[in-house]
Amino acid sequence: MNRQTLMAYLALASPLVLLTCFLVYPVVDVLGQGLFFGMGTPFYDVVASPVTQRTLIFTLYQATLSTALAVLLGLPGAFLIARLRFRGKSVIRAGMIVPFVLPPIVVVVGFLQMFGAYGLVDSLMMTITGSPVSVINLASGLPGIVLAHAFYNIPLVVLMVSASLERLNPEVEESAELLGASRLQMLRRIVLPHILPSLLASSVLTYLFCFTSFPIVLALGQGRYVTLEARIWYAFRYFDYGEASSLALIQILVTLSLAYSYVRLGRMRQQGIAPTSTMKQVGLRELSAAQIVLILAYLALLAFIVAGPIVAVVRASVYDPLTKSYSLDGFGNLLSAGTGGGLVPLINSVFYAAMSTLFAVTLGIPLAYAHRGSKNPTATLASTMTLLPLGVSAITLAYGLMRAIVVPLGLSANPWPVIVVAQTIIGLPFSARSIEIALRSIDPSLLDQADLLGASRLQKLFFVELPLLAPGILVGGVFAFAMAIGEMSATLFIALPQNVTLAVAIYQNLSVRKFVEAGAAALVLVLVCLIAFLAIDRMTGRASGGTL
Amino acid sequence: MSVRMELRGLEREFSDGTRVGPVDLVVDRGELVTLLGPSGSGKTTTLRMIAGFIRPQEGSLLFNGENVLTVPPRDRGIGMVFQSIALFPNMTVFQNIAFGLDMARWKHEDVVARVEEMSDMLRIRGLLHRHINEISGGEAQRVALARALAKQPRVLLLDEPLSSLDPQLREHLQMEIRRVQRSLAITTIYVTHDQTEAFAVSDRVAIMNEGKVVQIGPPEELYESPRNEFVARFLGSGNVFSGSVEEVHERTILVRVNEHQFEVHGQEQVGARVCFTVKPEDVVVARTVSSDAHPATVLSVIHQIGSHRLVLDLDGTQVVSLLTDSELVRQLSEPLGQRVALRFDPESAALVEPCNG
Amino acid sequence: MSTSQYPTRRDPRTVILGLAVIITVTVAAYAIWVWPRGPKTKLIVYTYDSFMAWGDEPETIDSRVFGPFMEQYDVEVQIVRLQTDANDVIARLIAEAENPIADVVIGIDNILILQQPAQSVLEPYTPSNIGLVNDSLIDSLDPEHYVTPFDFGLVSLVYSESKINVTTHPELANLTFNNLGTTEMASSLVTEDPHLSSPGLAFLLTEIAVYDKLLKQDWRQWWSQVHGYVDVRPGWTDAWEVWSNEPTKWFLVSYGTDPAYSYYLSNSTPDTAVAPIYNAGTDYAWMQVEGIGLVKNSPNPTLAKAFIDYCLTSSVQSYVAFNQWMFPANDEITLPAAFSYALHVDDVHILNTLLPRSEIAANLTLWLDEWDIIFSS
Repeated sequence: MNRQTLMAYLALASPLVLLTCFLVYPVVDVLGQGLFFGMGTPFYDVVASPVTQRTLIFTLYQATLSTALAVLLGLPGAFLIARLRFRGKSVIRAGMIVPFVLPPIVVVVGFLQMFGAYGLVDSLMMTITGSPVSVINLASGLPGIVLAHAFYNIPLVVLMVSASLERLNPEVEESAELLGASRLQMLRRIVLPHILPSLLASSVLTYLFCFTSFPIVLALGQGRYVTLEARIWYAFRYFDYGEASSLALIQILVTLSLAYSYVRLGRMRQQGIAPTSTMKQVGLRELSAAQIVLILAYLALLAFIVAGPIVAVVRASVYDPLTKSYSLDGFGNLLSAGTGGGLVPLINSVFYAAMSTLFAVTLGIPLAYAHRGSKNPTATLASTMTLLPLGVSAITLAYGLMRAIVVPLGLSANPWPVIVVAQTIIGLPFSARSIEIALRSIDPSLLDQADLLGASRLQKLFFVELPLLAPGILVGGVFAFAMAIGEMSATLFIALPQNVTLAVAIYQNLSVRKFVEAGAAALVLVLVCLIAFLAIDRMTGRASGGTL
Repeated sequence: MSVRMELRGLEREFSDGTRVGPVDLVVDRGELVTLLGPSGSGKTTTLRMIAGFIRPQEGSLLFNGENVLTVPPRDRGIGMVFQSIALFPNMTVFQNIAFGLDMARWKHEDVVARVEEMSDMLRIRGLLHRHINEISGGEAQRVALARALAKQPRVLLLDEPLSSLDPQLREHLQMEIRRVQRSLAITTIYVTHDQTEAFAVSDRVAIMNEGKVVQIGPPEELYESPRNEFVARFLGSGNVFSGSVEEVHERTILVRVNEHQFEVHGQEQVGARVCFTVKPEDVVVARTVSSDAHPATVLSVIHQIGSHRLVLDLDGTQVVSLLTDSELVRQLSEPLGQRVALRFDPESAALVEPCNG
Repeated sequence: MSTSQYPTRRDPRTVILGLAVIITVTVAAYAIWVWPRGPKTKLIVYTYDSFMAWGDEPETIDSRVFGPFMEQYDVEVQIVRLQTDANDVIARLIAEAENPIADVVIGIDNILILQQPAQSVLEPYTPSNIGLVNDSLIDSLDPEHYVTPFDFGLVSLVYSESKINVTTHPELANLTFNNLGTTEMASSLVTEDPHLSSPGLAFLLTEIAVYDKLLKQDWRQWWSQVHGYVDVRPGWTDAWEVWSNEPTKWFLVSYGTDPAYSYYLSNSTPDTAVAPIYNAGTDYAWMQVEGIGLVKNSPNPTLAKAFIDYCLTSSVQSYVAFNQWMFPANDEITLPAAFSYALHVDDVHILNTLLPRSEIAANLTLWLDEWDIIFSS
């Protein structure tokens, strides 16, 4: 094996090595400890327990409902974004991604302020009906949970499906039209099969997120509704590592199978792809009045659900419920450098997120290459492992990293490298996927030409492949950045006060009733992400969500 | 610089059962040989085997007597223009042409000199600063060619380079390619399915069918003396008849084709099954029947520039005739289905092998 | 033609090198910035995130409280407020058990210490000045001295007088679970998830103690009655927010010192009042005692012990009232005037005596599971 091939193998293997060392190993270590050596409830008892079974069923159930709602509400949006020409589309697209990256705690706050009792919606209803008490409370119980999950995931559906729609070759549709297909038939026979892979893929991703969801369920479920992840937290808190590990194992098995199906579905996407220079779009003027009304109604609903909580966050950053007055103290606190002040978490957030984005992108490139080769079992393995971070219990990973990496390596007093690692792992699925899609659209004859013209592997990568992959790399990088900067669970557990990030600071502030500070930090988080996405959308000039 | 290329028994079987080869071919220094054939005949595969993107399972490939099958594509000294042209979209014309030179780490002044030289040769000097998405199809072609030739390759491979261009441009570029190739005297293999194109640019043409080279030779030779029925049909050199030999004369034989007897130049044994071709322009059509003419019916008339094609029905066999007499053609066009008499000179008929009867 | 017209290509190797240099420099800069400094010996104290955070100047509280100790022993004391609560602090200590970096832990309460894993990371230690602490307090927390009392408080229902008061609802004077069992009252109650919050757990234990020990009835009855109406929030802040925002929420499970805090903030008669559970002539409340303990195999055991001793003295204990809004363990400390509004230990019968530690240790998970079952039905 010559040096070049060896380097190539090493490059391909590095992300897998990272995942194995920092994801698989810690998780296996924790689970092993809990299942085989630890104190606590044995596996069999946990599985047989009716509480577990009921929790599992509920978790699956609410995830199904949430996914269904997200898809139902998201599909029309996907069509609108793909087909309608209107101004400010890129802002809307950028704005849509924001909920996706907010730490759940912020979502909860925003949601409650918007849809909860005495929230914005409720107050409105109360004024309309003249009622002195709460009229409508959408943020509680199962409806609240499902709604909040939908809020989180509608953007995912909209962006993925609209990107797929945009790639549908307009000539295919035109031929069908000429051949006499009615609108309904076209929808059924041409459009639906084309978007089916992205639809299914976004559904699987949504399901994964809802399945492992925890803060939202607890906050809105009011003790009545508990997911698997919540029970894992409960068990951890009472040191029942046997139960925690058993539940985590069940959770991993479910998510593994979901991840696997996502990977298989991802391979299906290939037919009828057009260079996106021509797109079948209509302007607003070309629509009938009835259509416009419907569209506006839908947009209003979407704005409600998606933008509402963000508005609530903005409000929360300046309105202090303690003093019932408006103040900019929150922002002042953000810029101060004292303990509890905002400058340190801000620097930490940006630094960790930047580092992990860098790693996620650098490792995402070989990972994207490894994904190719559909029949190759290593490719499937790599793809499945890449998605694992999305489905592993956050507390399990955090605890595992602590036990297996931080302490043995003597990093207890200075654990920030492991925080960067955890954030990298979470961003990796997105960067890898995004780059992989860009990879597919590279004309192989370009690579052959480069070969013929004498380019070495490195030269080919640098001069031909990377420039062509640039949009995919940018988009993947931005997503990885967003995921990293919003990451809370692992950081929460591992960080020492000097390593605290904005996301964790929000959590901390909330627990000591520093609402405006929390709100201000949340707003900064939202703004950072918004700006990043806007920039990317402008730069790539196309569906940035398309490379999901 | 340029090489003598030899393909000996190159063979490759694919997982779906299709097979290319064994292919035997010799290309002399500075010669332009075209691989011509219908889709799926193995031309592109053969070309890619020469380039090194496909490894043949059998056979050898020699450049100046040296087997290059073990040499990776980048070291074989090959310049190639793909069907999709494949210019690097993120670079300018200059950077595209210079790519191979930059990869070989030439000094910048040398690179500039060579790129300018190539762009002069291909008459694209003014485009050097332009971005790839700002040039037209024909210009792109020339850039691709310049890029392929910049490093002075030993062999030039062209895979249907002009298929995406309109006819006038195509004609013009065919001549450009020919001119450049001749002036550089570079051994070239050209792949196309367009017979006119092949005939326009080549020194020799190799007709391929079902993975094998069926006949190779200068264009005129192929046209005049197609070796078998496939070649004849493919080159449109004519109508193919098959029948059995009834009589043998001094220099001609009489062949019975159904109810008709034709006199054909050549020698065969009595009773043998033979096939012969007659070029459309050698089929003479008259309105009146004569003793050595055979009655046929006019099926259709296709007008072309400078000539007219008549498709005639000779007792079930279709015969194509090329006429230049416009008056006659006009008379025969209205109405269709008129009875005419066709005949041809025995010398115009050529025997072909193999014969499928 | 001048060659400068055409830009040259960059060598990939130089670009990669350049990038590597930039990254290395940035990482190094950050690492240096965060590197735990200190030529001095450092004493590391793990505690929960809101430790001493409720006073006027939380940024300087550490230097004010622990400054004298630092000067006396010439060490740096780092109060590490982990961004979690006490349970997760223990979890972290367990994770670090092979190689502990913390010396002292503050905030382990009387329920948490019942669990073997909590004990497993601590070293029993009886401070030399233990006499400053009341014996009954020590027994309520930990007679084995894994942890020593640091502060304590009472968990009780609080209500806002502007929403309801003794005039509108006379039963408030002697509030029983029965009173709370009506639909109207139950719907107005906000409590915390006992799995995740110590006041929430304290309230559950209150209910269990009253029903099981005083009333001799099945404690699950009351929960079954109210589970569809009571508002359960994950944590105390969430509960407080709901209680504070919604006019229909009257009761909050919170700390008995809330009225004192309310008085302190508004400098007038507080709006918040306490409503401890009443039964047969006596008010009852659950006492939460927070302890300070020595980490097993700590890097600086001698210093740690001295620190624990120090924490019992008035130098530290005098800050407890204003910064923790709990009662100091040191019973010689004079309480601030605001505390006259708080619920005192003398005002109630402590339920902890009814529910022995062994019984809690044995049944806690069972009780929590039962609670889950009731709530998920």
